[in-house]
Amino acid sequence: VHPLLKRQLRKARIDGPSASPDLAGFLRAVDEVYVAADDDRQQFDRSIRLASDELFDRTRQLEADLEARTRLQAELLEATHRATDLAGTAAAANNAKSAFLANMSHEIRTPMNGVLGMAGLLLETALDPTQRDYAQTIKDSGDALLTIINDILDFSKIEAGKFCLEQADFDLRSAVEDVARLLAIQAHAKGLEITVQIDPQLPPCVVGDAGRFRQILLNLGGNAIKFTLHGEVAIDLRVADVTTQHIGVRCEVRDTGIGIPAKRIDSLFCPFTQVDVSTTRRFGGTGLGLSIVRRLTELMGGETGVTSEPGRGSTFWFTLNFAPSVEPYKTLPVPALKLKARRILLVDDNATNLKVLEGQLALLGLSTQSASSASQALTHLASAAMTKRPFDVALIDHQMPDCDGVSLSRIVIANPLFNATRLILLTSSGQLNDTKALADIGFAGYLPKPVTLRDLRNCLSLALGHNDTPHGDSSMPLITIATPTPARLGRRVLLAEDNPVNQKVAKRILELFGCTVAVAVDGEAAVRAWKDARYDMIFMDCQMPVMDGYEATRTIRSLEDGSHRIPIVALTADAVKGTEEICLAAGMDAYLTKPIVKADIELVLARYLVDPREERLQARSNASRIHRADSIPAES
Amino acid sequence: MRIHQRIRRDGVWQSRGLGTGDSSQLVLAFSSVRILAEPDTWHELRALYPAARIVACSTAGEIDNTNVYDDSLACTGISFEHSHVSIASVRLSEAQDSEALGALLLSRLSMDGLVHVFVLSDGLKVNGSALLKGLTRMLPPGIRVTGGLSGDGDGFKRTSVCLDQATPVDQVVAIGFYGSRLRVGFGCQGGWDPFGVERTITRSEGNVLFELDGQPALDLYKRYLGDKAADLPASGLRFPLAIRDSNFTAATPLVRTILAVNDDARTMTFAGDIPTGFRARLMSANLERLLDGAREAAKSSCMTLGSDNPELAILVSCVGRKLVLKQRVEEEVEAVREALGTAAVMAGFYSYGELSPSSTLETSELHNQTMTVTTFLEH
Repeated sequence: VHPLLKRQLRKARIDGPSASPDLAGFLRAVDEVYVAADDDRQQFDRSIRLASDELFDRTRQLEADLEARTRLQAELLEATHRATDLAGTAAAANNAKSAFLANMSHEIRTPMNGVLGMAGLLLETALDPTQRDYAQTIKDSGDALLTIINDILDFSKIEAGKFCLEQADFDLRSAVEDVARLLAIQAHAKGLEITVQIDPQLPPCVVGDAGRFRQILLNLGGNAIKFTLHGEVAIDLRVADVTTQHIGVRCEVRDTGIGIPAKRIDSLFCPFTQVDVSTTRRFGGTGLGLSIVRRLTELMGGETGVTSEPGRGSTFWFTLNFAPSVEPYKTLPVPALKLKARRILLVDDNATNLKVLEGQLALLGLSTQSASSASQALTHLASAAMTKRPFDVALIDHQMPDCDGVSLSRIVIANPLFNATRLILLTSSGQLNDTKALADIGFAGYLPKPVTLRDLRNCLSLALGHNDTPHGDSSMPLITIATPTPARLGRRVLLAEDNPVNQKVAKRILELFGCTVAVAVDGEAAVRAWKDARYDMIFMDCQMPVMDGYEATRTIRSLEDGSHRIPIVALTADAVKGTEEICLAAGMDAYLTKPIVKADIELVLARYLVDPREERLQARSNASRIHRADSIPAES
Repeated sequence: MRIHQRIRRDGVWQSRGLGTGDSSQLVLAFSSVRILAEPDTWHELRALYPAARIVACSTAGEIDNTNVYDDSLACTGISFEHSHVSIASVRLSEAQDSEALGALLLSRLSMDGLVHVFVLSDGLKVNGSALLKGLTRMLPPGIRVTGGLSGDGDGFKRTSVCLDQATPVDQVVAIGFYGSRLRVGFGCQGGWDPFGVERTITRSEGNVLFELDGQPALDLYKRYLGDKAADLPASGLRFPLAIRDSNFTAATPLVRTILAVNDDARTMTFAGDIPTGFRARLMSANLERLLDGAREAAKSSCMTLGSDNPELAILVSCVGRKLVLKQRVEEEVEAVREALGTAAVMAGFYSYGELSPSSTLETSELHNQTMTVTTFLEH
């Protein structure tokens, strides 16, 4: 019985145990209610206590969680700040590095310009064999150093994502030919043949980065030559697909060199790898070349690859996409009339070379006959002499089996029957630079292989211009690719350049091409000189005291009356992004990066100094313009 | 509709209503497991209602008008003027699981003219949530299911549902109501309030709860019950679980009540599903809130019926309410009477689970700890 009910019964004097059944039942019900009420209250109190404890714990837990989260947030914030700071520092460091690289490039190139330029000039002078060897070594070492510097700079720029591609019209065919000619110097020095095949379908003009294209091809070609001891290096450019939107080309460089083991091929295009350490020692190089090639082709929307058979040779290939040129084709000068109908004898044991030469000469309007050996050449010469239609010129390859070009020439010169024919030797460059010896033998001139159309035309113009002179007259200067042509001869060039060494180098090179050079030491002097006298062209250094090249150019452009626009070519030591834009914005027509090399100067002169006679011709033959006179099918 | 009620307490019959009820079409009989198992009970019932289908179920308390009795035999005989009933039953052994059971049961009912389904189910072996899932899936739109799970006092040992005879097998019976002039209303309310922290159901299988917040759920109940833990599972009815999905998609939480515990596995079995990932809070109740709930259930039922004057109301309330209310349990039945008015005949029982939609917008669900009121009106 509940204590409360017990007390209540006692106070009411009711005796529970003896109560009637009805009362007992009632009392039981009351007792149950009391007990239940106590139970409920206890249960309720217990629930409240437990729930409160749990809520308290839960609150503490949430507070702890919140605190942890706040701490984490603070740490995150701090980490973010740190990361931002680091990123800022890294960006600053990177900018500093880029600036340093640009600076270094400038600083190194300036003295290199002097070293290479003067070494080049030195080689043009009379030297005894030892001195020539030393000077050549200086030049080669300098060139190698410049290549390494350029590689490192390019690689850094590509890595930093600061590499910008030029988008300008250029003649892909000429670019390949130019590269091949440069490569030929090395190739011929090793006794290697170098051949070029260009797809006749190739459009004359494409939009892209000519410099980078040359770099890729030069790199692969240079490698091919480096790793080939015997045989040949073949460059083959094909048009993969052409749409109105793009021109896809595939270029292969095949060699007969040492080849690459299959397991090395994958890492070949990675930076700082060469086939193996012993290869590095044997062949040298930075190991950056192929990775630069790969990255450049990728930047230009193409791919790179290689197939190779150790001991048999390798084929490196790359594909590139160019945009078609929207400009109408630039008309190249048509050949001088005097070349027409002249007869040329070609002597070369290499059938491909014969075909190339035949095609080039056909474009120049010359008729040819080919001989694949010395004896066949003599037969042709003899029958031509008999029919009173002697060859005007014989182009004779130097290297031939049985009887080489020099021996053949000696026979020809010795025979008075053939003295109407002037002889031009096709040499592998670097092999035979003894111009005096060649002149003594009686050659009218020589051309380094592979022969470009431009060189061929210039050389033949000069050779045929003197056709009243019999061969063997060593008093006549020997014709080389450096021989001033009527187009360049006597042209007046203004050179604005403050650095005396650079002045000397550029002036000498220009003079080699037959130009008359006036020098201005700063921009102001250049503008003054331009006002005082008539010039055909200006070479303008960009960084000069008093007034820089940009300012000088702007001044000249503002003063020009519009009837005659003088070509201005920038000379800059900065091989960095944006230079070209600045040059063009200032009104310059082209720019050359120092150190200045002969080939570049030659290209610029050829482009901007047109023979006045050819200009007139061109005007007359407007109705039947010959586009791209030097677009010669490699095989035809 | 003519309704006759009679109740047998301590061997004495008392009756209420016109006539003797011997022409009843349907008799609902609520009693204890023990009484329903006696053959004499059925001889008596058959003699009293010669023409009727008799549906009986065991309870945790019989409702007769506003009285609540234990161990009585409470009978309500109904004869419709314009309507009729059809009754289907399925034995538990006939189906693979509770959901299949529900589907099978429905398939045995004619859909032609069906107005309402009232279900009386085994109270311990059937998962009420699954049963309703199976039942309602193929149900024509607008047709509702109400009813309850049979009970066994506060014993939780054995329940029984009978159709026309003492049945030794476990089964579920569905009464289909037919007729265009019959209207049925329903209402369902609890009155329990969640308290304390909300926990996550971290482990459960069907209607078996293993863990809340990674702790054994039974431990939590024992901690809250203290000394009363010895009276599990009945004492567990003091703390139903309010469960809701963690996205708050349902407007009101579902209430789940405990059916059994397993001390070895430290698990608890509830009358409906306890899905993993749902949130749960303990609930408690007081007298006033429970009475409010009963009143609201009756009002909702009149509202869905579309009349304030139902002829018959069948009440299914939860055993948990009865255990909490104890001697005051009749006050909730009186609250229902207040809301229904004096004309309605009231019958019903205390169950182990209530079946009803919680609102007009929802399908039927299993509820616990609620008062559900199904009202009928023939016009």
